[in-house]
Amino acid sequence: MTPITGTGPDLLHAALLYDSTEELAASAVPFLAAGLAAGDAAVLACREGENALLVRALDGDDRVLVLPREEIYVGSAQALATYRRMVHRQVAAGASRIRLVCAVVPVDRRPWQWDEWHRYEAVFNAVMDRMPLSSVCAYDRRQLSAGMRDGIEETHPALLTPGGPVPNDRYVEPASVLRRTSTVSADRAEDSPPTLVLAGLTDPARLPELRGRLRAALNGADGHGQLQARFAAAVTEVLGNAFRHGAPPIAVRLWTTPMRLAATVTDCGQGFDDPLAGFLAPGTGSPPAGAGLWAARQGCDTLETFRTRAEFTVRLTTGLPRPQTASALTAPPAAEAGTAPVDRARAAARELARRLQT
Amino acid sequence: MGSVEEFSGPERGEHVLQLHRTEDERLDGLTAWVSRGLAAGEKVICTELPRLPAGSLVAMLEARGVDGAAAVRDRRLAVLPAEDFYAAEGHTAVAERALAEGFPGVRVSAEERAWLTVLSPAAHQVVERQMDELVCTRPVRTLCQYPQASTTGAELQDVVAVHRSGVRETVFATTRDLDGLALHGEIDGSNTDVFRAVLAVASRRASRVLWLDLADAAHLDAGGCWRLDDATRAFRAAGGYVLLIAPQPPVELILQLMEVDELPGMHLMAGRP
Repeated sequence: MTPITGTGPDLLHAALLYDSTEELAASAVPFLAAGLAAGDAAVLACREGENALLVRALDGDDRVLVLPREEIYVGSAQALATYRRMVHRQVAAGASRIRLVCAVVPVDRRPWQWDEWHRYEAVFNAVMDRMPLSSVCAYDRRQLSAGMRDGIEETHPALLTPGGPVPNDRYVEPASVLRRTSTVSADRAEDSPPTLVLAGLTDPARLPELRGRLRAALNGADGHGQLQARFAAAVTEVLGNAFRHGAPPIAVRLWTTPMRLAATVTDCGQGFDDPLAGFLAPGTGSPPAGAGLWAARQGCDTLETFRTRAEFTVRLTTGLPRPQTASALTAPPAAEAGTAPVDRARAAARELARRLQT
Repeated sequence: MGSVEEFSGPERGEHVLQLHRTEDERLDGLTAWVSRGLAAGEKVICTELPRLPAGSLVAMLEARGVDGAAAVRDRRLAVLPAEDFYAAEGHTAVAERALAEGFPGVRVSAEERAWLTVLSPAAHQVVERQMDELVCTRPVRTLCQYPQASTTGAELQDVVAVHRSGVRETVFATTRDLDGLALHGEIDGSNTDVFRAVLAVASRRASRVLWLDLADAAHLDAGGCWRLDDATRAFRAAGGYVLLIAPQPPVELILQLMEVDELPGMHLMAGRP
């Protein structure tokens, strides 16, 4: 196959399938070394041992940036946002292109989790399109089922070889992948009675009250402060969209279980049929199309839409970590009493303003 | 935001824009404002359209629990036809005369429908600018009531620009203090145009730093984040900085989700150790 350079203005998204760490290094190291020689930024998001191996192979080049992968893969939209931010920051720091190698570990083989990952890989092509990024997703072939391997191949437009990236003729457009992959988890929260039902909603003037009730209901899901807050932000954005773009009456149903947060927002409008909606950065119109859905996708694990003859439903879910890990992963910083944070923020702002004014 | 508290700004008085969606909302906001003035021993002067007695402002205040008739009898409340209030001697003379009567402060309220019976929009803009200057040095509080539905676009920005003390809307309000601009309440699809006008005016006024205190803003939606970017883009591109200070957790979260904190010239100051 003809090598592709990955030096143009757009995304290169390649899969690297390896059977040993030596094979991983044989392809990844030349890829990263060529980037460093060309002045590109080099970024790793692998496991600790793989990061160390690759950095050593690059002679300990201190220009290599290592990202904490456990903080990246907390959800599809969040991972995409993290990578977008990383690219923006590297470009702002002077990089003309970023070369990223991430080693993907599909440890949980429950079908819905792999499906979500599969969808993430497909969406990556649309979200990061037009970004100066060469991204390599390295998979240990020994840990993959045949179905997983098929999924990897159809979501990466290129494959990385020791000779460089080559086109992948098994690649399938993201929207096609999204339309035929499931997002429904096995442990559906909706099988239990809803925690909160807000139905027959017709008056947008009630939005502040409705947001308050949603936040209050989610505050009852103990121990997951940051995830609750993100989920509340997602649901309130979708609810605002329903009032703005949908047709009344609108209904919101919320489920909170120890394992999952779920919500549906249903209106009587036509809705839309775009599997990439909310994955692409908001447009430049006034107001921009998709800003609310973009924020909603950032705030939850999965967001999917359903149309029937009479209704349009947006369904949002977020998985909750097991209790023993929940506090470490999701507890918000301990709240300070009184106005100390506000006073501190204002004092810091006055100092910054003073410096910026001079 | 009819129930928003009054804040002490850098001026002796206050010149506030109230945008109302319904007549009930206008009257609720006006009633609370009149009540605060009467409770503080201030002279309250309102303008109104010619109405039947049952529909007069005093009757409306009475219906909302304010003893308007007694206040009129004691000369603490005056309800003037627009042609009297905007007479040749001018509103400044009206306010000064009330202060000369010994009142510690004067409140003046007017609504768009009333002044448009005697003034052109351009002439009224001149009056608004004079009022904006008056409150800097005199203990005069003015509440100018505009209908939100028809106050839009460039007119909205012009109106916001001549109310130095802030804007009050159903669920959103702004105030000014020594540091800059403070936002209160909830910013969503129902008021993003107002939010944008506030930001556009504030950006034009700021020299190098636009101070936005978010400590009392309970909600900001994704569309509002985009307005925040859009309305300050030219200011930031010209070397200006926007400080987003002390956001509550939901507001800080949406600013991060929408990557507002990543925009050039935008500084998020959360206040955590």
